[in-house]
Amino acid sequence: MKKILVVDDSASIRHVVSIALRGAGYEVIDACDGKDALNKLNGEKINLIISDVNMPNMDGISFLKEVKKHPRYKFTPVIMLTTEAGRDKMEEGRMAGAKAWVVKPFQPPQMLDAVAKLCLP
Amino acid sequence: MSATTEVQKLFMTETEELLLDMEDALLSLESDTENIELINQLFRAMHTIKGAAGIFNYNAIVDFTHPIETTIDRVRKNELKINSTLIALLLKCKDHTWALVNASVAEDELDLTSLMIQSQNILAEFNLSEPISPALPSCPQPFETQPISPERIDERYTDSGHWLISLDFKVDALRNGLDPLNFIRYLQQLGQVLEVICLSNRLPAFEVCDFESCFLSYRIVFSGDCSKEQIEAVFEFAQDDCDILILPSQKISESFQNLIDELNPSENQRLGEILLTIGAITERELTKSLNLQSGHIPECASKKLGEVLIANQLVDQPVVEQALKKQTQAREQAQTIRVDSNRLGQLINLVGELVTASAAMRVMVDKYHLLDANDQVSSVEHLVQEIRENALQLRMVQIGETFSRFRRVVRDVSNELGKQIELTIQGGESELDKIVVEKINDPLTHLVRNALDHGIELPEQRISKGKSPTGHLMLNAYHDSGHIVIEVTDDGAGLDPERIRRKAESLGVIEANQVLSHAEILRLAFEPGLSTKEKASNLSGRGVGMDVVKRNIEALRGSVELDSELGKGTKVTITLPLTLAIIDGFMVGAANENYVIPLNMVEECVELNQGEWHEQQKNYISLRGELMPFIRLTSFFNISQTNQHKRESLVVVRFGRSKAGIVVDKLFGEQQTVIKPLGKMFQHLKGLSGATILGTGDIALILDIQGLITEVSIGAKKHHHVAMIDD
Amino acid sequence: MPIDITTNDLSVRVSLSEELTIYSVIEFRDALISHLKPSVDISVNLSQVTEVDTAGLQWLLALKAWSMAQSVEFCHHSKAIVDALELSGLSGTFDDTIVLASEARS
Repeated sequence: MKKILVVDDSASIRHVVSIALRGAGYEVIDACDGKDALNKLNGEKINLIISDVNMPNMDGISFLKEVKKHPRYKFTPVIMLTTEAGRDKMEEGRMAGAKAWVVKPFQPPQMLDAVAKLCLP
Repeated sequence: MSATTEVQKLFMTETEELLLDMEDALLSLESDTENIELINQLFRAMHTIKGAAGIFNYNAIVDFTHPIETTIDRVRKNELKINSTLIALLLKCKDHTWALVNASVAEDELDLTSLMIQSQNILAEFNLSEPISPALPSCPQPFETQPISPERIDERYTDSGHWLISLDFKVDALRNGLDPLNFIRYLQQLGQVLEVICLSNRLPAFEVCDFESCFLSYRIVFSGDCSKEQIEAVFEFAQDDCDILILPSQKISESFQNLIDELNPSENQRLGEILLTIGAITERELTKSLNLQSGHIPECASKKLGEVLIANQLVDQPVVEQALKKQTQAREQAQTIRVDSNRLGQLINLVGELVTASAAMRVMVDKYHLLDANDQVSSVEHLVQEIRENALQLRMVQIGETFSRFRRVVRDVSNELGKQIELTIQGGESELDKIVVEKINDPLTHLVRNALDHGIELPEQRISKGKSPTGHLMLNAYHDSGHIVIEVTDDGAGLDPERIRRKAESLGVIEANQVLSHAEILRLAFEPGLSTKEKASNLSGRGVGMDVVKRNIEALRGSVELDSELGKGTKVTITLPLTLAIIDGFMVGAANENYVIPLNMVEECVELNQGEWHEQQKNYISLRGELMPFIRLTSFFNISQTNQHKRESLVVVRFGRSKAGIVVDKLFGEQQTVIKPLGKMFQHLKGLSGATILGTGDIALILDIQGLITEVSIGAKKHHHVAMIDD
Repeated sequence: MPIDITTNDLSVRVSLSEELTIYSVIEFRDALISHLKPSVDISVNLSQVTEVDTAGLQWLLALKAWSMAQSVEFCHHSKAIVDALELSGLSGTFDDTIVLASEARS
């Protein structure tokens, strides 16, 4: 089964996304910020990372840069979440290696579709 | 699979020898790497095989041997050193070449497929930091060595509305987390993936390859109930790391053209908008293209955008053309007003009455010598003339639209019958009365279907006759002395005069020994019951129906002629008057009756006493040495002569290629003639096509010149024939 | 190690297990490269491969290309391998060497 790491400081978003992903047949691990996420990336196979941009402790872009250095996860596809206002971050994210974006607010089917385009269950 | 021909066997023998030479040279080179003679031998081998293969169009061999030849050339020029690795590789090439030769000659497509993929892989082993020679195709393929194009795929999936998705992944794609395999699986969920072709010619050799980079390209044949936009959306996240092209199949491209055709032309619709509306391009493609052409002058924007779109393979040329046409249509329509055609008809009738009334006024002014009124009446007449011309113009439409509708017919029928037929249209801008256009549609359709069904042969039949497999049908229209001429020409089987003759004889239309010219025999095709096609087809019934066609055309005061040569083709020429309502006439008198001859058919008038013409035999006259049939109006219409041969005049009329003389008593001159149809009772009177009311209130009969000439020609021939027998 | 290589003078037998993906391809290549000699037969057992991605396909393709002179045989393709090949239209390329793994393909 494909495994997805969901990183967002909002518990409700983590919850909704996890439920949707599990319903679609993925296994889900979640984390509340970049640091927490890095801790959770401890060697097990992760097929996709979904990460918010604005988070305390370590924001999404910095987290992304760390992931790209990690031997085990540097090639993992990443979907960044951002708000309409935070679109300027997209370019930075793109430079850091994020190729996919979903803009909040989003509907679960939208998220699932984006995930499917990178990693079908 | 065809048996190997002599010349193919020769090719194989020759190639085998050359490859043996190559092997010998290579083995010797192992211990003698500087030997220029051996290297030349290698070069000659590859060069000769490549050349010979080229003649046979064995592209797989050509494409494989060319870069090898180039490499060996570099060795010759000392740019490359020969070593054991290269020798081993060249030995591999030699074996592979032989495999290619066998498969090519045997035409074993399946084998060639996998061999060609191996070709790419072998060639990839040659020095990769240098670019491989340009002859190596950038996208090798299973069946052909030209780049994969929609046309090639179309040949294999003829009936489907499919797309060819072209994906060229860039080097960092995999590192960025993309996986082509996932995209393909996603497509499988969106629709049907009919075929996937993976191109790996950019893949470096195993020892040196950076496997984390992406060197692969894919061509995917995809069919699904979705729009181009939806397909593009699949690759939403791959835009940076992949060059994506979504190419429509012929069928889809045609459906775009049809969609454009059905659009309501709305004002100010830009090319991009039209194409976006029907889904031929996506928003992203349009934005990208607009950015590309934003440097251009605004007024050229549309045209340039079209060029940009075509150049980037975002839209097919025919679709762009169709859209541009729709734009023009919209612009034209914006300047037009819709008018109820009944109202227009009423207006033209009134104009006719006005012409008559104006003529009556003229008669009065002349009768009472009202010189004072002359100027005013003249200017009224002049204005009436202009109004008449303008009013009639209102109802003129171009025949091009009618012709264009046949494109579809030709295409559908060709497909249905398995024939290849090309339609050419000329003279579409020729204008004629709307009513005539509407009424000519049926006869034209009949003629076109005849040509398609019975005229043009199947490709194999055409080839066996030394013709090109594609048949040609041409629709041509032009104006000629007040008429419009429509020609339907095909280069098909032509009419068989023998068959027509036999059928006519069996029907009793002609006698067994009757002497007929080629033209007369062809004219028999218009007789009812004369169908020379054995089997009816559901397309055009019993093959001809030419009598119906003729009747319809004659009902429009037109005429139709056939010209045909057996084995070469047929041409049907339809001549129609430009308008049905008002004509310029030439009035003549015979006894006390007035007759009108359409002015454009009048060639000249000659008075009797000038001695230029005289009667020869019963129905011919000779005018300055030229012989032509003639009638005397008084005799033809059985009017009692009041002036026996006194000051008769001859009016020479011409219609098409025929000429005739009409002997009359008086010449009156030009006359605007408002045509009033004859009542039902008088419809079948020979020689008359209508009547008109003169300014005086008298009636003049309008002569049907075509009918008269035919009558006269037949009559003259009969008498001639009889006269000859008498001799 | 997910790549197992046994050699003798005449042949090299390679067995891959677990993933043949972007994370393992370079390692596999580096391990194998020194054993690739002109006169040696190579056979690659794929029965234990559980995951394949495009990088893995490239590995297979490159090795197959290299194999034109020598004999490289791929055998016992696992389901993961067969699926990936089919998906990318490469079944034909590897056709001559597909010998299915012991479980029947569903």
